[in-house]
Amino acid sequence: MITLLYLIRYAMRDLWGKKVRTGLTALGIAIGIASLVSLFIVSLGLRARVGESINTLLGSSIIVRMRNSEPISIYVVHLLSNIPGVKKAVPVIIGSGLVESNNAFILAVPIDEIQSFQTIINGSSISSPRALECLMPKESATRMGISIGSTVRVVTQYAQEGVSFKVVGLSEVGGLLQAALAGPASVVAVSIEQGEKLLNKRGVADMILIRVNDPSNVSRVVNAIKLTYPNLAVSTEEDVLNQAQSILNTIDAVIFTISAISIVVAGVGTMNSVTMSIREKIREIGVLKSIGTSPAQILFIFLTEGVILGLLGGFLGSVFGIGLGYVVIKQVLPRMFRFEINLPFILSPEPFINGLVIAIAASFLSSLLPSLNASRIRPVEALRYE
Amino acid sequence: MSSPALECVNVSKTYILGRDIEVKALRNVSLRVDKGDFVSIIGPSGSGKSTLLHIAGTLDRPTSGRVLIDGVDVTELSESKLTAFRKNKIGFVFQFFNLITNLSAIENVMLPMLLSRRYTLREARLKALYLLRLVGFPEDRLRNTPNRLSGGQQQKVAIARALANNPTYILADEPTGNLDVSSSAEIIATLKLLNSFGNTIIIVTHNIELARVTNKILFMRDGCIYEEAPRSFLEHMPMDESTLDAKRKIQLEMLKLERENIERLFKNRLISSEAYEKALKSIEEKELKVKQ
Repeated sequence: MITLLYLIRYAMRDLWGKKVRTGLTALGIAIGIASLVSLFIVSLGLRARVGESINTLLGSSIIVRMRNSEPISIYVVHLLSNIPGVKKAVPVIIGSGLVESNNAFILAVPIDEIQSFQTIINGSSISSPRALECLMPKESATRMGISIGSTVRVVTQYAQEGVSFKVVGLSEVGGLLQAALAGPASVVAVSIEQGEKLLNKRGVADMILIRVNDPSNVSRVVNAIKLTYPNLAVSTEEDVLNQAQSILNTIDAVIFTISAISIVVAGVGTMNSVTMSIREKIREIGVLKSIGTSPAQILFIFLTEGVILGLLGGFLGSVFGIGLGYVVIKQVLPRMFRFEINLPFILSPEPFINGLVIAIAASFLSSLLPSLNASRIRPVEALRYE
Repeated sequence: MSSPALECVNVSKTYILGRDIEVKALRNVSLRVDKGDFVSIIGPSGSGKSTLLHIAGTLDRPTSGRVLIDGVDVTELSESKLTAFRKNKIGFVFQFFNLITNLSAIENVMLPMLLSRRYTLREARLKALYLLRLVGFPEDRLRNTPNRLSGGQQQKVAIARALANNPTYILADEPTGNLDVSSSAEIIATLKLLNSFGNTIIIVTHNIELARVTNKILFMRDGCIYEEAPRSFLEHMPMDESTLDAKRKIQLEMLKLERENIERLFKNRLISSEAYEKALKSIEEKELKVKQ
């Protein structure tokens, strides 16, 4: 034990003796780890946000569509609401059009349901089903110079001359429909009655949102619907979440592949540093061996050096990375795109620990080969080395 | 005190440097060093004394022959067994001190004891202190690293380190080779003192003054070991008449070339007439010497 401590002390003094090189190598690792950790934090935020959005929209609700993506007759809404356990069936019409010559996504739902789709931050909701009133995301309204009380012209394939709507409320952006379906286009919410006219979908809906009495009944209701109406495709929060997860997993894979490159670069840096350190110490390794240091102990010394570098770089990099993740989430992402992305900043030990473990593993692996070579140096040759 | 510390029996070492190039560093060397001996091996560079030292220190293996240390045949021991063996049986002192640069003086002496796992930290520190006192190392420098010690002080630390695990013998390779006269004297005195306390010491050197202090001097020449200095070495110059004649011819040819060169330089006025005369005279003198 004392011997090991002594060898660790030897490694630490060796690193301390060449502060600049140690610092630069640790910095190299830190940069790689910082990029990894910050991306990890952004990804955590993204997952939390998507989960949250889906939960806000769906909760324990069920989405029903036709299998062939045709519109569903409004009659089905009434049939579905009669299934035991169903509290309410909400028809939803979606389509695209132009608002003041800008691409827009049109969402039409019964006005008493509108607020579960769009969070109103300014103004009020639509007053009556017949009213020519709409809600707009605050960000796109500001961009188009529209305020509450302004009139906007909505043009669709079926209403080519356009219909004038009064903007009564501004909604928050970044909801699920905004992010997943509409992309950068704005979502204009109108009453389902107006939606029917604009999109020529009288008596039909694109999908039906089903609210259940008891969240624990979801699977029973899903089974009942599937059994009764085999033509309908049913998805629950879980399904949507899984779909979203698989997209996020793909994004993650791309992100982590990119940051893996920086880890490899850092690893090569560590390998270089440990190799140099060994080159300079060949003679000393010879001396250590001649006074009875075993190959395993020599291996241990230089692996320790590598691991200390990794520990140093990993710690620095994780701290940097968490800071960087904070800046990206709070400052960069909300401003980088035309629509606002507000992700939660989640501070958990996970990214920190991951960063540290990856740094140590990378530096351990990259110092393994030079250290093994060092342990195999023959004392006679090492002592002759100048 | 007559049991052998080191026995080399018909040890040969041949280095193969490349295709068809062999260097016979040791030729059938047999050597016995008893416990308590103070032996010096002296010889010119290239005589094989460093090779013998490395083999006696188990750092290298002989091509043929056997090496017995403290009665144990180490010729065939595995690398890891040799490491353990070296740690407990052999102490090294090098010409360039070779202390561990990032350990202090006392830590350098403690290191072999801690590597052997036979001493606790406290025991190792105390023993290191005793050893450093024994070799006359100044106590106010115990915590200094080697780069803040003089050569003589570094060599004292090296000797103390060599003694750390009570080795069967100490191998010293030119221990005064890198020291000034007064430091050398101190080191020699220290080695002599340690020998008088019963430590077996083998020194390799080409310093005859150092060798004189020891109880036994062995001479090395061309890979062989002699009990007495081989005096006939310089007188014996094998070169027959025909070889000599051939060399004379080469010398004359070369001088002819020199003469032509000087004449050309003079003709082109690149050298003064005095320089020309002088050079010509020297060439003529050399020619005369060859023809004698």
